[in-house]
Amino acid sequence: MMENRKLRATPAARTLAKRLGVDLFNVIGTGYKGRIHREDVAGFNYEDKIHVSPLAQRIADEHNIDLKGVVGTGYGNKIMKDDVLKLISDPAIISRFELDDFGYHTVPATTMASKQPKVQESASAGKPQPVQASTLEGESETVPMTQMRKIIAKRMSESYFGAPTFIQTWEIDMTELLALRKKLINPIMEKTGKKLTVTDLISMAVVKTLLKHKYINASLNKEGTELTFHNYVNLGMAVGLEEGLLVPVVKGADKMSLSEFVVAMKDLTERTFAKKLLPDEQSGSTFTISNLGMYGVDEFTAIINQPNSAILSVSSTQQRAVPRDGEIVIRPIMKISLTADHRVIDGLTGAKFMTDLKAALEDPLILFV
Amino acid sequence: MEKETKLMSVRDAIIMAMSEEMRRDENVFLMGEDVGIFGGDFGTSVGMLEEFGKERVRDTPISENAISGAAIGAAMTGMRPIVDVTFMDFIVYMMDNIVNQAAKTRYMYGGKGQIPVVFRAAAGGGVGSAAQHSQSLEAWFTHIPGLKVIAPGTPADVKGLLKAAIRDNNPIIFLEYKAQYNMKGEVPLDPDFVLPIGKADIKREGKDVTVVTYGRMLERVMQAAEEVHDAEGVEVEVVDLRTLSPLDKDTVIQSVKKTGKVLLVNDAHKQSGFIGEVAASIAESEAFDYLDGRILRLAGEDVPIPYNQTLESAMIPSVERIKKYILKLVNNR
Amino acid sequence: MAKTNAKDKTKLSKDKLLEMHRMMLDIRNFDNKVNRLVKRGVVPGMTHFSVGEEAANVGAVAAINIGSDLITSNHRGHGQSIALGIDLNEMMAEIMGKATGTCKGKGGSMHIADLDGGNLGANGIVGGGMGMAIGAALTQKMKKTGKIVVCFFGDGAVNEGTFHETLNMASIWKLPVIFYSINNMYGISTPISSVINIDYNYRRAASYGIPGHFIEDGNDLMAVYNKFEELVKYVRDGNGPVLVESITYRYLGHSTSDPGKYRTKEEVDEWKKKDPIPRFKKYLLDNKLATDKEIEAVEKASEDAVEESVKFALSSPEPTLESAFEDVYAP
Repeated sequence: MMENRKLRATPAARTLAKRLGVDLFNVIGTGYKGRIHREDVAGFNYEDKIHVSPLAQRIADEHNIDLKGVVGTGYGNKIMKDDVLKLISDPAIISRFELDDFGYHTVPATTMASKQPKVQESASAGKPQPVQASTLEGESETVPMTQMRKIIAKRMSESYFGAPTFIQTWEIDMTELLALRKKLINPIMEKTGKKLTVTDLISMAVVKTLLKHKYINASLNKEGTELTFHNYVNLGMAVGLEEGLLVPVVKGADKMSLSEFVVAMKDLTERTFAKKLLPDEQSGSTFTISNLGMYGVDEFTAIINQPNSAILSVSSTQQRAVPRDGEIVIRPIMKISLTADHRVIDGLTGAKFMTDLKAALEDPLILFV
Repeated sequence: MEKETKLMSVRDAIIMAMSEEMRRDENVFLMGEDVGIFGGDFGTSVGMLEEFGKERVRDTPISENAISGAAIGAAMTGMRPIVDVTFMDFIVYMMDNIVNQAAKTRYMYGGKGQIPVVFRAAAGGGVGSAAQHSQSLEAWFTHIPGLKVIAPGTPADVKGLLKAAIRDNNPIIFLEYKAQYNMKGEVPLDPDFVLPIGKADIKREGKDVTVVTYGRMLERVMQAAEEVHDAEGVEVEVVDLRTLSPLDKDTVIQSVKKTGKVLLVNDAHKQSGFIGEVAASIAESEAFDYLDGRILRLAGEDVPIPYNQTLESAMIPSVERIKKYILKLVNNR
Repeated sequence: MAKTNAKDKTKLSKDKLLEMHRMMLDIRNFDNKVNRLVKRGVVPGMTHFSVGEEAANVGAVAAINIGSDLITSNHRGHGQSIALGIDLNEMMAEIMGKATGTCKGKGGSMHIADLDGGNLGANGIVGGGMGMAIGAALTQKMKKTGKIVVCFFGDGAVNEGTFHETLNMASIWKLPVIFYSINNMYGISTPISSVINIDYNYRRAASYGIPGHFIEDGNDLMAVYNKFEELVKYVRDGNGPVLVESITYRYLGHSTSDPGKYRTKEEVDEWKKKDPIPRFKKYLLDNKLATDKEIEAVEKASEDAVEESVKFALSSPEPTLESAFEDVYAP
């Protein structure tokens, strides 16, 4: 991953990049002549790095000022204390740069993602869609792929072309799980101040089931020669932003209670939208869930998040007519699909896992056994 | 143990240290040029002739070779002499006795015998004494196995380490700085206050950058650290080596691992100066993977010290230049 | 060759006389043996021989309190060390660099020492022992021990700055040192006449206001001894230092690597006629101070001891690699 083609980086930067699996060629260095320093790697989160002195950053935070786009007067256009003080005193600038509590811009049109993430391209957002031509006679706009897109593209290709996969789709009767959620909403709210979602419950079921199926919770190395079984679960949850896909990871999900998981998941999700996620929080997953249920998708299959050996796609829950004990009844039905790497998992193994998962989702009290 | 301290100068700390040790052990005595009635070239033995007499506060002729030789012979046969070299430049006359005799005798004799002698030398410039009276030659002696070299930077450290040196059973080169004999600081009054040889001291804690220094430059480094903190919020960690040989590599390495950035400062010439040894020790150690910037050195220029005071000041690291180099590291230059 | 007068005969016991003869024999046998070992490639390093200078060394050492008074030596220190009674086994082992040597194999011929016995050691730097000598003497004076120091050096050291500085300092502080120059008339290759502007070095004592003594025939053991007896008393009585010079000759080269091109064979042979050992033997026999048999016994004992030392050294182990890192510092 790290080729040393005249790359200027300090030993500390190299050490950290290796540990986090960050490709140094993607990192912008803020040192002399573009030398990459440790902070460049540590702060690497697909966004243009804001080059600012510690004191200036502190002052900016105190006044709730976003420094994006500000050109400073220090070395290499670094933003210094005086630059920030100048911003504070200019009322016109303040309103442009204020953030709300979640780190979202109060002026939505030209800035960060809104609260409802859209994975599909949305024509209603003010930002021009780079790849779509607006009319047949109109002009096209060609822009280079952003840093983030490039990396996603690379990862997706590697996964799709590198791993021979098969898909199993199952239908889950969500009656019991939805009832359980109703019962738990208030206790969880009281304890954590957060709202319990169906996704949280599905995640917990997945996590508990994974521990009994080691091949589903395994990691294959790039050359496909070494398989690692994990006796813990780091659960990745795919989150779609306007700019692309991020996968925050809840580490040690198997050791968490439901409340702890809810809190951890909320925190990660918020920071994902605020683009304040660190590389450390985006790596190390052992299994990933991709949930498009809230968009009304019937069924879909996600691409495996390397180096996991499988990914679970969760679609929407819809009221359907199904036979039960010889009668037709209406039940909430959700489809889930397992995309599995056939080098590691065969049909039987996958089916066994999904059987157990289905049982847990349809009768959640089993999880207490 | 008395925990009292008193504000006193480096000079007074030296007199106190030597006097306490001479009271404690009758084998300790002081010899050198003008140490008796004159009280030492830099006033570092004022009052001692009156207390200890001329046998134990011994004036000598201007015979550096004989002085150092006699000190070594006396040390070999049970005495514990302190030699006042006066200007460190004159230690050059003593090189054979220090390097060929004192440093090697115990080793050559297969572990028999010991040479407990302290050579106190006034090093550095800053007093307009020009090229032949302003040198800091510690690098010559740190290169010789069998010698220990100590260079403290505060009055308390001077007292604690001089006492330790006198009690140590090896030949020791003890650097004092001409420009700092008047420097004042709190010094413990306890006659058993002794500091360990071979241990550096973190004089200021910080997380952004490490500055390693010793002796005369410590004062300037501390001031620079204070000023960059006030101006830029940079937190400097200051490592005061105190003993140069044996070097406390551990403390230096742990600090560099913590901050990832290091500046080395001394007043001796840059080329082949002692901080080069420290730099190499850092680069070859486990601290290497934590380095987040170049290892920078700031030292005296490689020229003989000029007489003109403005020129002389410019030849040695100033507080301004130290700050500049600290910020270079902080800004990833 | 002065005839010894009858008075001398009564001062020293037979045991002492035989002991002195034994010392000279030991030096001669030991150094000759080492010389042969060097030629055979068994001795790994530098060494300097005292062959021919036995009387000059033994006469001086026999006059001090062996084991109490102190000496410092120079690179040609075998003579003094052996005369002081150093263990020949350990000395031979040291010259061969073995772990059982006096310095654990880490010092070699030029740094043989026996601190407990008062031998502050040989020294590789010309004049290097002179500073040490006055320092040791300073200790004796400050502690009032009554011991004296004999500082051995050659004719070359007199021209080092340290000679001037140390004699001056000893003279002002009245230190109990006998500065003894064993003049074998050559540095390495330079004859003394080409390096000093006066005839003999003892005259320099006048510059420091101290007595200067001259032993014209340094190969006459009794002459050396008698002179030293007088000087030891003078110095021990607290009169301050003295300078003394004796004339002698080294039969072998300066060191092991010296072909000796700077002197003629005739000169060497002349001096061999004045060999101190047969002279002393003759003196003992002529004055009926010892019998043939007694002397032969001493001769044999000396040869045996030297042979023994070679066996001991050859069978001793080499020092370990770890020992190279030991004793750099005192604890």
